Amino acid sequence: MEEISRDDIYTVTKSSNIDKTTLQTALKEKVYADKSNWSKFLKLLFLSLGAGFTVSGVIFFMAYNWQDLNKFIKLGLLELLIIIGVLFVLLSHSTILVKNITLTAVSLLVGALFAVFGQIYQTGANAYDFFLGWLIFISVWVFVANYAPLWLLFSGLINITFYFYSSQVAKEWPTLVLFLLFVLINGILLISFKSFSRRLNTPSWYTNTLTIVTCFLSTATIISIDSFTSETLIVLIGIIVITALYILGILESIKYKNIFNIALISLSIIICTIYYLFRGDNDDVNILLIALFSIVAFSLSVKLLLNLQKKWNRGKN
Amino acid sequence: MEKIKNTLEYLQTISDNELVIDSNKLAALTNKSNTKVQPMIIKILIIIGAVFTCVFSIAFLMLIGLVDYPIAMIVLGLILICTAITLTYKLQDIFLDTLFLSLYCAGYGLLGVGLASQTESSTIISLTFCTLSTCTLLYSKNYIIIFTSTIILLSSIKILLLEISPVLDGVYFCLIALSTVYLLFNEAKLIAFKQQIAQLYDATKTASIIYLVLQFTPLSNLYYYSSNFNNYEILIMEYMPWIKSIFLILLVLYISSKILEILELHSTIKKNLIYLFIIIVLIPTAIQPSITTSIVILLSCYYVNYKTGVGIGILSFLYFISRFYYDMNITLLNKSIALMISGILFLVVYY
Repeated sequence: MEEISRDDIYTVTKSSNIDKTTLQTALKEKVYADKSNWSKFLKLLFLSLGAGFTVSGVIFFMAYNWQDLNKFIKLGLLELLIIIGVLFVLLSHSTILVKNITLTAVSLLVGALFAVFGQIYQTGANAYDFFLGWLIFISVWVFVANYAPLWLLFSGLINITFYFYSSQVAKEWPTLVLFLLFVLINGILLISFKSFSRRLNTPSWYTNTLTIVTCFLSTATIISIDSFTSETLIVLIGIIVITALYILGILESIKYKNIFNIALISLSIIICTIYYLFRGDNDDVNILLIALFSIVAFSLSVKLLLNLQKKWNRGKN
Repeated sequence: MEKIKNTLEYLQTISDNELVIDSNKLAALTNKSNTKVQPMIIKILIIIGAVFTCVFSIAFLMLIGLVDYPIAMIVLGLILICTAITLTYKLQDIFLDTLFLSLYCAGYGLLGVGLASQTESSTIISLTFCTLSTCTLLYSKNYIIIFTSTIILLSSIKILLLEISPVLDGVYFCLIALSTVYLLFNEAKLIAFKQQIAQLYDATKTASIIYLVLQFTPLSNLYYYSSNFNNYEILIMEYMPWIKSIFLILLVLYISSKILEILELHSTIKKNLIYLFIIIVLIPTAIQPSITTSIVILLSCYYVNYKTGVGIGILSFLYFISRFYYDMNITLLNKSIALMISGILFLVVYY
């Protein structure tokens, strides 16, 4: 039997003479958070607040760059904290949640360690190799722990490393190529998470974030084609890659009966179309056309999404 | 259908009186309910679509020279708003929402520009907006329109109060915070009370949560520059964050007393210790009421298991807390010590 949801209770409420005390009990028993929910929630809240505050405290402390503190003490302190954290994860009998949060905190400290190293030996705080080192040294933990916030840190670091690499080493790359590579990186991440999602058990908020990022970058890529028409080959590759990604996204939507991808893709396509309509000479007729286009396009895509959802919900029931 | 039957049986078992069910209505609602539930992403799509359409259509109207005829703008604006309200009353197809919302917002835009070029005072504009949005709340049945007009209503009341005195604005903020918590905690009472209120409930709830969060973003400071304060008001304004914070901390205490009931904690000493802990943790953040606001939102939304609200609460909390530390006027060393102490405090509480 499926759980009774808030919507079901609402539907019955609208067509009956239900009194408020009954409704209150129903909501309390079936919808509201109960004792076990609350204790889980509070534990997670305090643990992540505690870990988050402590780690950012340590990072601020290192950023203060205390002159009187010997560099060996600085590095040693961080290393000591990291070792304690890792030993705790390996040896203690705490729950998996506690261990995961500790490991996330430790991974952040690794970044602080690299930053302090860079500070002492003047290698620069935003050099791409700093982020690359951080990325490489936490990647084993990320794979072993398989914890979504760690994955988020990992994918963020990949993007940041690449960004600094492009701005420090590969300066001559045109914007289009850059955007396209970003799309590829995040697209590959997304596809691998989606294809292993059963085994990895990644929460949907993480894959959804990746989807939004990829879709946003694809839109940016298509828009930047406009100022980059000299190299037809790259333009062609870009269009093929993004089309392939979008088709995959739509197929995935159809397979799992989820409208999220289709909604994002239609938004991206509409925005690109509006951009290319708006780009030319803008007389009043053109602007009227864009307004009309946008209302029609958005209404139609909402209609399409609603129809799909209706069809799929029926299939589920 | 199966689920509805289960719900019915369940409700029957916990009810004291015999439930009278209007089965025709129930059947109609059940068939409809598949399309009624809009996922968040569709709402976002509708809002983005409306923004685009509004911007371009107002730009078009300005380009063809409407800007020289304020009266025409006012009339057209009124017509657009009325059309939107009438249409939502008659047609209830969600896919038309983008159209309704665009008409509605474009109406307000034209009306605003038109009125602004006719009169100097913003009082008239905000009074007009207040009246129109209240009318909408009375007549419309459409989620997204109710949502928008609630935000318009709340903001225009804010501007009206700011015209009189900035002090009132702080009081108003506390009132909105209080009524948001009231809305969340009295769901059953409000839904069962009247059909009309049940329809408004969901949209106004979300709108007031978003309004509260918006108060602490740069958006809400737009009006402040035009106001003149007298000395007395300046004095109160200095303490305004404190007043807001103390009020919000009281709200947090109220919410946590409710949570402690659920956690079945009855010992008075323990309870008082927990209240003391909450006060000690929150008092240092008193100069930035935003942090306590997001905690109020987070806790009360989790209490009623309202997921969107919890999401807004978490995101705003992260944003405000980083703003808080970024704006703090002490050295990095002191900041780091403050952070570490609070971190260790939380970890101790965990154990």
